[in-house]
Amino acid sequence: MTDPMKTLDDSDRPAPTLVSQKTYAIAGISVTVHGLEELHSTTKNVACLWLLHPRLASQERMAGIAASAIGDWNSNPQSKSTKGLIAVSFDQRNHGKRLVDPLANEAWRQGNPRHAQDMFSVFRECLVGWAAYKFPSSMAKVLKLIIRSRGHGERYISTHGLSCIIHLPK
Amino acid sequence: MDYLASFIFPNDEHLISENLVLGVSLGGHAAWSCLLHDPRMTAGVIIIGCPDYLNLMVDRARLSKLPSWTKSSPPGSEILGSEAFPFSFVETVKRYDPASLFLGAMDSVSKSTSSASSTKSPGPARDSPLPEPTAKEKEQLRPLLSKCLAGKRILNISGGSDKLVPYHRGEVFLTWFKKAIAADGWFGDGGVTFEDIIDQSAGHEVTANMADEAIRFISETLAVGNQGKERRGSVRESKI
Repeated sequence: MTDPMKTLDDSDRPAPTLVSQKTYAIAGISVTVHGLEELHSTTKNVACLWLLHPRLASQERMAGIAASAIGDWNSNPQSKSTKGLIAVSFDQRNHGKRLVDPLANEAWRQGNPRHAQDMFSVFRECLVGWAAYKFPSSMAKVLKLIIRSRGHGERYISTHGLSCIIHLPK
Repeated sequence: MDYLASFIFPNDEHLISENLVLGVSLGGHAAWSCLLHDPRMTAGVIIIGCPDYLNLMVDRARLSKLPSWTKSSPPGSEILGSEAFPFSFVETVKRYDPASLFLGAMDSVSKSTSSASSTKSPGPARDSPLPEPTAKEKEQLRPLLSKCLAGKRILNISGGSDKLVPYHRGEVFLTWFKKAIAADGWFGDGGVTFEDIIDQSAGHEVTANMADEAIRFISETLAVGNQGKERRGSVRESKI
């Protein structure tokens, strides 16, 4: 697969003005936050644009779109009066610095027999780990039972019985 | 998403008041998933992604001449449940993938209703138009669509000449979806805004026109804010 972002790089679309980038290690993942320095200190609300890169790429490939989106919004007076905009990029599972097995990113034709499972699991789990995992309510009930029967560990079940973050001791 | 604000605004200098997602290709499939399954994600841009994973990948299996496809007679008839698509995996896809999730909800109604045999069960290859859901199916779908997508804004951008993620692999679902969410559709009160843009000459690539549309949509979404909360659904189709 050729890099789908290359067409944009090679186009005559004017390159966006660069915006600030700051890197954080969040939940074990290197996260780049674009546009923090450009926020107005008086604007309380901030919208966050999560950028998800293509297969076989890495988070750096999304920096251009981050700069374009932030530059465009910041040219609107509302960016000062109502809300600011930041963008976040990070390596998808098994990509960039999170690479574990190069073959798992390849397709059937390139010799990966688990192409369908690999691709789906990589993208489906993209925000899990920082997003609270959503369980159907029936599953939450089962989990409550399990937790009660274990009788220990940190646990949290939201009042809706939908979000669960569970850390049981080894 | 749970932790970002506490890292970047440790003194609560700002509040992350809304979340948007933009994904390309694999990231585009992911963007659909984030939109559906995270209530905090209120708008999204999908560039060259597909909302119907099984329909896309089963066809890719055919084009790749996988043994799992060729060994059965007729070819492909046993692709689901083969090594390429174990049933355990198909079940996972049905929980999260837009087409499999919503159309699967229709399936479950038709299976439990003996008189619903007129409803064509969407198999692995979705090539023909889907009927409007029956009243019973709508009853099943409405809470699901509300939970996943009500009030959200979505821009779907595809390449008209994309051979890796062809538009037509998601088209059957998208046509069904657009009929449902349109202002005069049966889920018109769900307030979903959907733009379906095809860059006709583009392959599996991000063109300057696509980037322009994406940036325009993001800024429009931010400008609209909560003003549109009570609006009806809308569908815009455009070829560029």
